[in-house]
Amino acid sequence: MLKQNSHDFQKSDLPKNRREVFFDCVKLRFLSFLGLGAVIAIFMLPLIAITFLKDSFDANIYIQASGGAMTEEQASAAAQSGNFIFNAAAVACYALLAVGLAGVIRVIRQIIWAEGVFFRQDFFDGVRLNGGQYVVLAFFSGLIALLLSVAAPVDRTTAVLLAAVRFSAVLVFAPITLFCAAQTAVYKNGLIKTVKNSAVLYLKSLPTTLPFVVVFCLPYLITLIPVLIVKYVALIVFCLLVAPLMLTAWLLYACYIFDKFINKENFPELMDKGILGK
Amino acid sequence: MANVSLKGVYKYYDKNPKPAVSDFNLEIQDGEFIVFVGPSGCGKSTTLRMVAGLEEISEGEIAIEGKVVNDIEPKDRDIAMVFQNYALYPHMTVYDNIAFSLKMKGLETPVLDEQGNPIFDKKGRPVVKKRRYTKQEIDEKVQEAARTLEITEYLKRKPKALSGGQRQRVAIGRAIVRKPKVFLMDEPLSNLDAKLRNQMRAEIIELRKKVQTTFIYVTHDQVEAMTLGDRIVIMKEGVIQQIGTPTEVFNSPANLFVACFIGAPQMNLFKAKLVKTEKGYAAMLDGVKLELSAAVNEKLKAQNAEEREIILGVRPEHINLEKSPSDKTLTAKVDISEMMGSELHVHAEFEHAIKIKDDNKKDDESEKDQKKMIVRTPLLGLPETIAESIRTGGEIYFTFSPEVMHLFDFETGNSLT
Amino acid sequence: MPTITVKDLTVTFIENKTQTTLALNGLDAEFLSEKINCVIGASGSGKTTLLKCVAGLCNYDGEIAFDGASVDRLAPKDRGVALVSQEFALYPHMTVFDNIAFPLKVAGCPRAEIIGRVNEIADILDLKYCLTRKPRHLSGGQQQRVALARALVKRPSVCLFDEPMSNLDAQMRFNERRFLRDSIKKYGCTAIYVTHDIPEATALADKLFVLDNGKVAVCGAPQDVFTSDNPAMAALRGEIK
Repeated sequence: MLKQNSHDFQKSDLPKNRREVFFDCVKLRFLSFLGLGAVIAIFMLPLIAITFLKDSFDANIYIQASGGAMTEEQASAAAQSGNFIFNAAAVACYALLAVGLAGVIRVIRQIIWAEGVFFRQDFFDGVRLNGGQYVVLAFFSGLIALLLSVAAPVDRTTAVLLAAVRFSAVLVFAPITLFCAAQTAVYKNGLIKTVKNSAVLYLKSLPTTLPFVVVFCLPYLITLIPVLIVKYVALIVFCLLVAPLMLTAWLLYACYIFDKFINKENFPELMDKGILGK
Repeated sequence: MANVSLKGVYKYYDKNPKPAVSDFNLEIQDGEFIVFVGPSGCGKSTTLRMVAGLEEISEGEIAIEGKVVNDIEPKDRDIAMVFQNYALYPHMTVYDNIAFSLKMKGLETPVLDEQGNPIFDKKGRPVVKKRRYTKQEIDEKVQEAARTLEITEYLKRKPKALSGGQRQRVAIGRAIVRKPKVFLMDEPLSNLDAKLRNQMRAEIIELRKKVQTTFIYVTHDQVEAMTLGDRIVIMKEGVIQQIGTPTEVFNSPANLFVACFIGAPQMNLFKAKLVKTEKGYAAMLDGVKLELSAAVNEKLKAQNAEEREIILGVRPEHINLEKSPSDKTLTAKVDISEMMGSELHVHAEFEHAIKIKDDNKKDDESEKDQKKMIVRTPLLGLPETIAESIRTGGEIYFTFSPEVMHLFDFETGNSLT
Repeated sequence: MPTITVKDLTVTFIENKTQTTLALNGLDAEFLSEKINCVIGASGSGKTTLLKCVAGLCNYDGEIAFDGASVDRLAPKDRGVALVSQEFALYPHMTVFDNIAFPLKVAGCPRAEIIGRVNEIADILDLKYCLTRKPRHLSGGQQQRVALARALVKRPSVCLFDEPMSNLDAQMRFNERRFLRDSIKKYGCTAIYVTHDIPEATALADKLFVLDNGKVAVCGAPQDVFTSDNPAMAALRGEIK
């Protein structure tokens, strides 16, 4: 016999804020999140594959250099060109990942908005409606990563400048991209307007948005793990389990920011969407 | 047959300061059928399990046939337990399931001294001589139990081939074959569908007549409790609310919880005022003065009761519908009516009707129930004017006699009488 | 929604090589269109078998017609019939929304229409706040309403109920009867409701049928049937007392 609750389920039992919505969704739809993780893992495979190839290439250079088959200059040049090829290829991988994320974020939106979730249909709707903007964003992200990877400091000043640029890329470009991704899932705006809005939203919410930026550095930190087997297992686990939760938390937070600065005056029907207990 | 005695029994779990069972006191007579009833989590199963020895007693003592059993293992207490999920061995036939408890128990005969008196060990336990039952003895006992429960034709089958009701009978058979001093039954009918539950309830009544043993039966269903029990123990949050026969708890509920728990549909509760009159006391409800019975008046006088707000309880079947309003009638507006067999159940709105907060319900659900009352009236002989008013959602005028009114304290919920 | 006519319905169950049981024995009945038709009777009188025949779930002799058109050759899925039973048969791993939407998804309904229909029926049956929950979070009464919603969301012409409220307590049953009446009225389907609970049958029925030994013993307005002298009804009345 089906398990029953002793009393009627009511509105007062529903989540009353976005934090409760997060835990509620994860608890109720754990299998859906696992499915989303699997999709992310599939779309991440090309990126993981080229990362693996780069690691193999770097390991090979190290062995040759240690064995004396290559001089230090030759090894350094080989590593740099390998780096360039990797970052160039990564641009295409980011674009592919963006296609997957467009669908995934659409499904997550349906879940947190407590609207009917049609996994397959929503995924393909997301790809169809938002894939374009996501690919453009990913392309530019990849391009910036490529440029930063090939830039080499010639002296201390340029080294400091390069470090500052890299730091800004993380602190400025990354959160704006994240806001763009969230906006694209919610509103129907052109890319330029989306980017402009994202910049403004970021400035207005800087203190609360920064922790999310730090958390989103996690995938990059995983790539720094020196033990290869641990690194790749961690990447897969990250895709399957952590990535969907991070995206959900981000989307919920973004909706909170949108409510505060956009929806109150412009889209009242979107205010507190998904917080059914309010 | 045995008498079972529970004195000052408490049960605490781990670090929880609130006891799961609190100050449980009960004397059960030989051959009595006692029912523990209450909502989920009230402590009824915990108490039963303490009698069985499956839970440790935190405080107090439990005695069977005058002997304290606190430290005695369940297998040595000479009790038999029937659970909600039957707990039959799926790989054994029905015969083997019933016989298993006999094979495990063996036959114990007390060792006697030269004068024929039983010998006790240092712990006060009787010294017994144990031997296995013979195959013939086991067969006789199993066949007898099977005949009692009418499951002889299933003895060679395995539990999975049986229906829920048949499995429950096997579980009971496994218990009665041991001829225990006390039968303990923990919601044995909960897993069965409604029709089968009614059927099995009748079978348990029949079984009780045949075996003449003390029964302690746990259920959350008040209809089951009222049908089966010689006496009912109503519990809430680990505390006994009332102990009495079905008639006693129905006619004289000790507090609001008992009044609302027993009886379906639930007792109507009204917010009224206790006032002093020349004759003694009366209840004021919606501007109408309701006379109280002589017995109630005496009790209130003895307490020197003050004028105050009270809760007046009247069961739906005790409300009389009147053809027209008068200074003695109360008025309610019909919401919906249902013909239930030979009766009409009229659901109406009455300004002073209240519902007590049910801890199992949320606030907004309890809100919806306020100002609602129910009247049960026979269809036969219902005057056309009243029937018409009910059909069209109009007003009904009602009264009730002093004998059927129950008075409760507004703050504590305890019965004033 | 159709008037259901049953003519000379006979169902034989073969127990073993030598034993057969007549579950229905030349049963004739006319079920009112867009009303609640309650069927009561002793155990073994053929109530559930009758439902199965109307649904097309068992073989029978005789004729069943919806608005005069025979449905005997139609498969269950083509009869436009929905069935609600006491086990509810909800998918425990799916949300309430997905449970209700399931038959529409299977039928290939467009997404927007599914969402619209599910929200509409959830509103009628006061399940709006339960759509994101799993069945285990709901009370018995709410679970029964989800089963009802799942049946009605397809807008069936006929809705069959096999003792759906047996496992609910008295207060829940009262609430659920209200929802059932309101939703049947709103969707206008022809309902056949089988129960062993006679007071419940008299409370719900627009037309009451008493089955006895595979035939209709008496039928008509609930009050007339309940007070009739028919032996089958008298025996059932005796059971209530």
